Amino acid sequence: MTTAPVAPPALTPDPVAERPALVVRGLHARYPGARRGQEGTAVLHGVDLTADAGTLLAVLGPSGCGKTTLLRVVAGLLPATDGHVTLGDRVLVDGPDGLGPEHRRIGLVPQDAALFPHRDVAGNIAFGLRRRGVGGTRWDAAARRRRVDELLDVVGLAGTAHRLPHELSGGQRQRVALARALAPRPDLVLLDEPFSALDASLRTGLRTEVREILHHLGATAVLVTHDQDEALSMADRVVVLRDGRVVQDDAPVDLYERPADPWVAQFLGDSVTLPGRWDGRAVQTALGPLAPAVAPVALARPAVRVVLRPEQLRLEPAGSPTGTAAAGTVTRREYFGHDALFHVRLDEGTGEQGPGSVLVRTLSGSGHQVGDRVVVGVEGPVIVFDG
Amino acid sequence: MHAARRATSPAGRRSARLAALLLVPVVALGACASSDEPGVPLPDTETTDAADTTSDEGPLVIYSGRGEDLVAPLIEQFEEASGIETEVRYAGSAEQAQLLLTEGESSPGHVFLSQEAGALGLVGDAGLLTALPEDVLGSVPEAYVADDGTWVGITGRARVVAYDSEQVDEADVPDTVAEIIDPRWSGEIGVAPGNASFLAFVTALRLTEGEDGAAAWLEALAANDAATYEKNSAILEAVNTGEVQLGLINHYYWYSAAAEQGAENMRAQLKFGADGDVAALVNATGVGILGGGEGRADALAFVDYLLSEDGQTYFATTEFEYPLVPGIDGPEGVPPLDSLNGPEIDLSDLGTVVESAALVDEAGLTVG
Amino acid sequence: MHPSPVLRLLALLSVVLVATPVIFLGVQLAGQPDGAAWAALWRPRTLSLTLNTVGLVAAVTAGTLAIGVPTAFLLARTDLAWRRGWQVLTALPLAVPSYVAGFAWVSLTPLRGFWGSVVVLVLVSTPYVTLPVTAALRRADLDVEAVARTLGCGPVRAFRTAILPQIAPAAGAGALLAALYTVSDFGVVAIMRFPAFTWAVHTAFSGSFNRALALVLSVVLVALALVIVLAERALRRRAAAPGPVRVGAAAPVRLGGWQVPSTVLLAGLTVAALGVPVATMVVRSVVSVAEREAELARLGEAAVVTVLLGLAGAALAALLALPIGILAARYRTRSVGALETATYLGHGLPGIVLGLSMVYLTLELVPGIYQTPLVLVLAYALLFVPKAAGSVRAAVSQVPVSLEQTARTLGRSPVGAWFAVTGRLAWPGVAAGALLVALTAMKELPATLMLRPTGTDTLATRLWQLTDIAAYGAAAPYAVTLIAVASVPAFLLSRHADRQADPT
Repeated sequence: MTTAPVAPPALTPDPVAERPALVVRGLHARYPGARRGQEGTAVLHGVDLTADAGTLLAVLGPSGCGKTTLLRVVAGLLPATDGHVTLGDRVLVDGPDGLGPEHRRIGLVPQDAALFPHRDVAGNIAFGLRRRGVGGTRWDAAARRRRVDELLDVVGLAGTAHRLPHELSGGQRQRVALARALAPRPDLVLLDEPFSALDASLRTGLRTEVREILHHLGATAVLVTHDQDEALSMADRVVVLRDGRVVQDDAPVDLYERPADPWVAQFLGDSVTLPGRWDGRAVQTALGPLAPAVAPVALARPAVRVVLRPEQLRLEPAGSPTGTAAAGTVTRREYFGHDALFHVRLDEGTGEQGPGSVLVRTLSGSGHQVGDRVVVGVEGPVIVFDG
Repeated sequence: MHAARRATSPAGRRSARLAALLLVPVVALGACASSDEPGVPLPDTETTDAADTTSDEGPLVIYSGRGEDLVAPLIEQFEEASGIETEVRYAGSAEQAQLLLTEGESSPGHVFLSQEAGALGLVGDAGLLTALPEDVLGSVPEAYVADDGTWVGITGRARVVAYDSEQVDEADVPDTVAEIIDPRWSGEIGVAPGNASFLAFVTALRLTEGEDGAAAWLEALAANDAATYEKNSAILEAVNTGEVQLGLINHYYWYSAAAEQGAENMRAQLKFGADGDVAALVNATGVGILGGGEGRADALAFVDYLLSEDGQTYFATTEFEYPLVPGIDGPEGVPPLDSLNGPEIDLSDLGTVVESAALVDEAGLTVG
Repeated sequence: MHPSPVLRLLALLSVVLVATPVIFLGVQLAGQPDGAAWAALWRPRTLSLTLNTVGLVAAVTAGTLAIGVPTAFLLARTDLAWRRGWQVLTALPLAVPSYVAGFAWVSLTPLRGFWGSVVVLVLVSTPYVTLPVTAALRRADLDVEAVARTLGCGPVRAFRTAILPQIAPAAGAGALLAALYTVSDFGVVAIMRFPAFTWAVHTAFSGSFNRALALVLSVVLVALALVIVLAERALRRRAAAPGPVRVGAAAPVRLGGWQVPSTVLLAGLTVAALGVPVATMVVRSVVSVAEREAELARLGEAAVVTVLLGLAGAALAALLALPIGILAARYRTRSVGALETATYLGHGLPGIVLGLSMVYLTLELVPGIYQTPLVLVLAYALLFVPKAAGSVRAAVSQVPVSLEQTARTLGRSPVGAWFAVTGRLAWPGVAAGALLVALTAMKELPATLMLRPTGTDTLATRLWQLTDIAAYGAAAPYAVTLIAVASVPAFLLSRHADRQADPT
């Protein structure tokens, strides 16, 4: 059951010639005050983003960054205070005015699936397929039945049409929620942390599956998540949101390798930050001289900060002959099976603060014990920021 | 026996109303509140065979403070005798008075038949009753007629002492106000201090004994731990079950209870007040014509009928009340009205009633 | 999201309608001579009567909780024998008019005064607590209790710390209904000869015909009712918000040796609340020697009228309660709280005052409907809107907002989404509220007497007429029929409470 069936290759994209792109410009929003007349808290401060036609855009950020508010404004469940949202040539939000959610042609997959408990699976999927459907599509009974069957196939739930939501597993519920959102052929699909309630083994499989389904249908989608793995693995493009502002908007690889600032770098994964000094050719650090990934052309001062990923560091037994390396002691080991993370306290200070620790990820976790003397080395170019 | 006498005509009207009632949800849903909804058979569209009455103004609407089971047979007799069609609204006299005060000039009622002179006085003071013709007012003794001629007494109801015949000998039962507060009845006497008939009695007491005398009497009654009830029938029930030995009530309550339980089964018996004592007070019931009934021949015809020999005899024989029109025989087994020489007081003077209530209140008797 | 202006407007309209009797009170009091109102208010009796009523309310509320919560526990959490039968029987006292129960208890026992009033009022209003608490116990999150047990709590303490807070809002809502009923009841305290506040109102109206005093005292009653409502709101705010509907059941508590005592207890309550009134009326009817012809046709007609009026009033009350209940469920703001509280304005009024205010307002505004059934239906709705609003609030708050929002993204208008999802899921709760209104309206007497179309009887008005002339034999069939008719909604309510645990 964890090995979810991938969408059948026979599945054809929805016959819509041109998928529109979602464009968000200068979006401001407040979370409504608890009491009437109360202003409420400003949550979004001028958000710009674009989800290109047929791609999946992830909005990534820690909880409280405003990503769910953003999604609700785009869906029409919360009014904006300022800014614009367009979907293709349709204006969805124009300042405080906006289309009602029922007129936006946007499908929503909520975090808790939010299946209608009184309708069976088929009834849930058919909910948006009405005789006078949105966008001029007319769904007669036969067309509706065909569409429901088609989507049941797509999400791999054929045969469950007459089950009630409480008879489904968590993963199945999310698939029904996806099918329900896709059924009316929306211009855009919004996914609100759809996998967060699932257990880890199910999550990975379903991610791949959903990605495949959306890709095959050529749907434009926005995924909101706080899980960097999810964002990096699923999205064509990732927007990082912090305190209601976009801090970076990039392809996953670029995001990971060239974060816009140390906060993004840390947010995207485990990292080691060291102070250093730029001498024009290399950065001098406690781990020796390191080569920057991109030459820091415009550094104001020679004092810089270097961000390393733990997988860039390697451990050697003490006394090994190294080039760029520093000696230290293993203080802690986190063992994950496929890899391990070592905490190493360096003998010499990592800067003004005196002796410090670094994280080292190794593919084999068995090589060293707590208390071992080791030498820490660095591989590949590093990310350098202004000190 | 009363129900059996109901003529077909009111019953027919009742089912017409039921049909109208069935349409309520439809009317409500249609947001159409007009009363002339087609298809609703309104009572006044029924034909009437009364040729000489103002039938084109609809039936005579009577607000009755008397219970339906007590007065409906008489009203049917009236309908049969006169050919006049009536529509009767039943509730307590006080409630009817409050209703009339609230309705004001818009009241659909034509005649107010009350069990309490006080209720008539309240409505009359608000200017809602019209003056009755002299010949109507002259048909009963002056004491039972409103000063301003807006209502006329129909029957009298004597204040009596009900006693538990299993616990008390008739001879020992008090029949004067002085004996009623004798300490030997401590905790054994029931009164309804909030009831209009008791307040009328207190008013009479104030007139005969003076304010201080009345206050002292009430305080003595309270000091005797008088048990207080909501109404006369509750007192009678308490006497009948031996809960208290004595109760101050109106005489006719005993007769309706006897009709229900059988006179021979009644533990409670009555003792009438001594000649000339306030304990022998007679309260009046009466009738007045409302503003809406002004000039209506059928309204006057109804008042006349109540004062006719037929009407008066009905009250005497069926309800055991005293006819107020001279020359009509009083109820059987009840001391004649002439022998009860209560003080002459204006029962409808409202200010007086409020002051009496205040006096009762000060004595701590109102409730509890 | 802020509530839609349409919804707010509708709720405001409902509240204005419900509050109209208070407008009448204001107009009437303004028309009284200067100082009359104050003089009436400062009579020494006013304070002692207020204290009496407060004491009665406290005792009745405590009594309904003391009996209702354990009963609910027996019904919801134990292996009590014949549980379904008890579920119905413990709800049926709702069908017994308090004045009938009071009459029966006075006839049979020497119980009088304060304790007599307490006993009768507790017996007839305990189901207000039992029903919602049974439902809440079925919904309660039992994991919390399990955790408490693992942390070293005994079963009693675990129940108190883990389950009691979860059922407190339901118990509070039920106790509120019982308390408000006690404040405005006149029938029982009159029969029991306990000097409660309503007695003073009644005496002022019909003894001394002192309208100013009666109206001032009514204002005090409204104030008392509002204080109770506000107290309940304050307690509810401190209690936990209702959690999601729980699916699945825990193993019932085994009663073992307690099986027999529990059954005896429930049987005793049933006899006291249901058996005594019915038996008394039947005995009265048998011993009656009055030669009355059976008025079967009239009885049947009164029953039909009673049911029709009750149902129509219930439907209208539910309709008026919908916007208020939805707002209260979805937006816990101060203004919504004020609106919800305002619906109780009519609830504290004595029936006679509500009746008079309806007379006044109808004649002022829509004289065309005066003395038609429509006015009576409207009066029932205004009196009992808070009962329906509470049920609507509870039902709607159990439907997650996300369902409705999802429906919006699937192309439904706000109203369409409400009906397709929230309304569809909440309707059993809304219907339960309407049933409660129907039940109460069927037993209502003073307003009915004042507002009924001329010549129309309900079971309650005919019952009053006959008992007023001591014709208990003729009255008995009306009392028994009224109990029987009102038992139908009471039965359905018990089934509703039983079904609360179902997932759909």
